[in-house]
Amino acid sequence: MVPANFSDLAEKVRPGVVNIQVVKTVKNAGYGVPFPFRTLLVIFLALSLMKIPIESRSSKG
Amino acid sequence: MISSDGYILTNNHVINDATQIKIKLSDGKEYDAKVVGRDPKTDLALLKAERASNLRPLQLGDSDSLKVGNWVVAIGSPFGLEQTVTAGIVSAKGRVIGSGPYDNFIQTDASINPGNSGGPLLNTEGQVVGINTAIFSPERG
Repeated sequence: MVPANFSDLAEKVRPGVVNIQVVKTVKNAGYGVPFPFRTLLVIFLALSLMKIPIESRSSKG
Repeated sequence: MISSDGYILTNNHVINDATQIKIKLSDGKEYDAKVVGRDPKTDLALLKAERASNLRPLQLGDSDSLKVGNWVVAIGSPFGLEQTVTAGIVSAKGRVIGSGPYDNFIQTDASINPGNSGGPLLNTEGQVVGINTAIFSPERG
């Protein structure tokens, strides 16, 4: 049998339910990539971004 | 919340790596909280709201007596929407989802979303029979 509604139950338990807010500190701003590889990753990403307009132009042509 | 002086049971992953914890009640009152204990294996944590008293705790129920098909209610903050109430049934018990050494979950079709973690799953008597911990969906779980 389906309960008619849950409003009485919800009203009864609401005071006992709390919202938890947390502050977390991110320790590694380099997304877990070790230093020498991080530098290479940045160079790779920069080169990739520079290539985007060239490729998009050639594909349209 | 499981005691009138502010002990709170939740998921460990909710407070993991937290440097500051605040508790907000349904009436808007806020308390700082500290971690009393935590167990990553069961994904449980016990918090204490500081300087709290005369609160209205939830009663703990008996999850062993739950049966597949029983109505259950979930309350939490899915997507940050506080005090959201959803209802469903116990869809299965004893689910193994590959989540640690104590893998024995109650499955429900009550709507559970990111932000529900650590919130109570209640029986129709308003007793806590579970803690909403994980969701399975094609997009995220």
